[in-house]
Amino acid sequence: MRGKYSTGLGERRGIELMKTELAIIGAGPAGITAAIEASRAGVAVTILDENPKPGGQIYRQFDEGFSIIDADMLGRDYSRGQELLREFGKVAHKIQYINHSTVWGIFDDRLAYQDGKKSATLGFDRLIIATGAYDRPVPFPGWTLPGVITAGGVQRAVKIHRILPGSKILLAGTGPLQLVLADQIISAGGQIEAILEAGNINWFSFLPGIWRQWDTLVDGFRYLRHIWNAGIPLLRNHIILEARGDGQVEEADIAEVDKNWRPKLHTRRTLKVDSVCLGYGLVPSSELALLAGCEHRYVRELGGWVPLRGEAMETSVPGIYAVGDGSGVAGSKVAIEEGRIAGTAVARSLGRLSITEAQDRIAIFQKHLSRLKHFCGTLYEISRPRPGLYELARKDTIICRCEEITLEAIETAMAANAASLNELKRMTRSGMGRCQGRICGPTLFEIMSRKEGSQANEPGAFKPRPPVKPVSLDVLAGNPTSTS
Amino acid sequence: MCWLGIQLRLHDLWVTDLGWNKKVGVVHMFPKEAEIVIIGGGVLGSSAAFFLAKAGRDVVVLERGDRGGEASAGNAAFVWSLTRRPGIDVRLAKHSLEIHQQLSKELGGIPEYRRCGALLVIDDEKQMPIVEAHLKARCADGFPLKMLDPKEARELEPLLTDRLLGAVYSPIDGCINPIYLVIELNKRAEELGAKFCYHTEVCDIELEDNKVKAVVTTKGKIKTNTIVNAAGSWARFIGGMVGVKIPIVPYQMQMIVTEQLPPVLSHVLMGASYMVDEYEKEELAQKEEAGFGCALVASQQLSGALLLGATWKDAGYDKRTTQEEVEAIARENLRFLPSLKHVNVIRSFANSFPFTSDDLPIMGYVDGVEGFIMAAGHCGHGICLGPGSGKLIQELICDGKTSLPLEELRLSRFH
Repeated sequence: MRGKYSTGLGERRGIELMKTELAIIGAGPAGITAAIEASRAGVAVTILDENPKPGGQIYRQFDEGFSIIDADMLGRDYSRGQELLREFGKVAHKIQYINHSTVWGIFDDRLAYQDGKKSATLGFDRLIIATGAYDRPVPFPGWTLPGVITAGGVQRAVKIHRILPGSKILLAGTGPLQLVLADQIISAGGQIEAILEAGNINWFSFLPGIWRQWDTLVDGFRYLRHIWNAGIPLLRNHIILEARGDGQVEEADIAEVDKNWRPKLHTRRTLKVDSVCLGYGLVPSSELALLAGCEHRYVRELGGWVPLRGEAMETSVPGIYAVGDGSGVAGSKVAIEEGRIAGTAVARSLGRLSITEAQDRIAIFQKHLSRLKHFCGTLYEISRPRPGLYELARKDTIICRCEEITLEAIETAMAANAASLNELKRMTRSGMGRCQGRICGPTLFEIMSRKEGSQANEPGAFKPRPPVKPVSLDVLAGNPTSTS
Repeated sequence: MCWLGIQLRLHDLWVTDLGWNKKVGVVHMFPKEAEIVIIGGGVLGSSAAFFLAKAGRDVVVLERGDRGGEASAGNAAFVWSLTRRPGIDVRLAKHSLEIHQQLSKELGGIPEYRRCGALLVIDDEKQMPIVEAHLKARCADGFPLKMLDPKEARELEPLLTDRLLGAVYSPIDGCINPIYLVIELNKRAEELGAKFCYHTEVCDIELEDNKVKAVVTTKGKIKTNTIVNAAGSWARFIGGMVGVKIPIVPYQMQMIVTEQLPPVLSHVLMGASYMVDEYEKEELAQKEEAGFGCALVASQQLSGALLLGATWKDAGYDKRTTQEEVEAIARENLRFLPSLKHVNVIRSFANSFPFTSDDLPIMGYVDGVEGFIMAAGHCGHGICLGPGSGKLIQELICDGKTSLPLEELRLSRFH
């Protein structure tokens, strides 16, 4: 409004800023290994994590009060996680681990986070972003009904809270993670009506791709055996078209699909189910890296944005590294190697390792990584979302859940030549809500870029704006560093 | 090589002269000439284009970005006259309020313009004499402003703190959805025949005998005799192209947006510190320490989201928000509206607003450059004054005179 009192960009004076050499966002496999490597070399590390304990989504630890009596149910990933967490435990005394903290912004060389009931500031020399990924949202008629849940949510409920999503469960999605989830539901005593695999997956076609990944192979066969033993139909080339019900899911329409995942309508049929688990893969959480100004590219196979990275996991912004599923969903094993590389590179850049030491270590991790990458390529190819997936929504299907924007409103804006996601946002409000477009962004990108005659083949990404996750006014108001 | 050279040149021709859209494969003719070229597709340019197209004029709008990318789409959303000073300042605001009301009907209510009433909230004894003097002068001008005691203020806006000293109430002020306003104005102007060229940057303006002859853009040249400089914070660069110094500087303002709530605020609120010019030395020193000014601005959009602000500082064209300012805005708003403390903030934004040294816009013809019209520098009130200013520019071009004399707003006042 009136500008005359301004005096240029301000520096806070006389207030102590909490500082660390290396800040790591996220304590999943990538964040943990980065911390281990950097800390071993003598770097002062601070990890910020939204969860109560380290481990991330995959190695999620249990809240106090739970005792593990059937570790087998939790799967082999869980025991692998235990190994990693033990390794982390050895250096943990040297690491500052801030749990229950949500990073809501990156501002040059400091980040803002919510720590309990207050907002706080952390200055850093180096930053590793290891924010992981989230379940791909797929809009189809009825996808907003209670009872339609993403696979990650179901997995968390089953593993941590011991809650099954319903009594007649339909799994719809693609890729081997569906089998893991099915295995967990079966072990927890749940009843699965059917598992729909959208791809044309011949499980043996994996063999060349996962050659030498013996444990993965063994896991896979174990899951399949459980599913076969439970008599659950595993339908290849099938997707869910619609969910219906009065206030909650009561039935679901499914159909066989062609190689582009477009339904063959004569095969459409209805299943009586009370819950639907959607497992169409994961989308990288790239909002913080985007906010930090890192250059990104859109990866069709992932249906998401990933930061451009060099050999040592460094992004285009000096001092900022990105690792794990947030930089290209490739699973925990890749995340672990990437984390180790970034942690080592940071130690080198701060002068704690000699060039040769760092190079030698990174070379080993790179070797592991290249072996895994082959496997990932196969996974990418089979679970790549096909165009049919984005054609299920009808005119009245909600695409942006926060603002309740339908496909019709989006098509109207596209007809008026909306050229980018950000322009579409201003024209329709989609992506303006509390998730900042994490839910509708990937879908809108596919809808816009696939539309024939569209001006928006490269619609860009939603511009992230701090706070990237909701933070209450009193938390923001309570930052002791900025109150004087 | 020679053959390749020709190929490249042909390609250039396609892209630049015809504006060939390679993605669609449809050829949109880039205009070769226009009666009027408006530079800037924000609220000023869009309003002027709408009224000119409505009057049957041939208008081309050149916009560097896309629809509503700058301050016109991200601001306090106020349509506000309460703090405007007596004279041309408040006359402009009053005129624009009337245009807003007509426009709202014409645009089918899409911009969500509401005269919900405004409160200027006083929380400091030092503000009182200044506010009272302002009130007296404005009431003498016939404005229906009213001083409320804390109890009356809280009856109107129950969430306000009980630590208020009072508030000034204006029934004619209100707010709007600035994004919808700009996008709808663009759409209607296009329907009326105006051409909008997005992603088109102006590189130069050609003059002949001090008369406007053509605009050179990144997509080609447009012959024209009339240019409207509605480039907001960037207006000075356009001025530079015709050798005119335009004293408009960008000031950054930051705001925050909350999650959607049921109706909790029925008025638009502003802290009295905004209009209290004379700070005590000590206070000014504190502000310098922080590096930015901060005062209350609050309103609730029809969506339910609260739009809260604001901080301002000299930051050039930087559109990033900062942690300090986001947190300062939260504190300032909780000071006045303490019961909002558990409300979630879902984003922040910053934009560059065009300011002049006397807090008045620069409007009208420019001496020495025939055909060059200014419509910029609305000092953070572009959304309020934009439609009115657009109408005045249309009158200036079509009738040679305006319903509100623009003499006091001309660029020559600075020279």
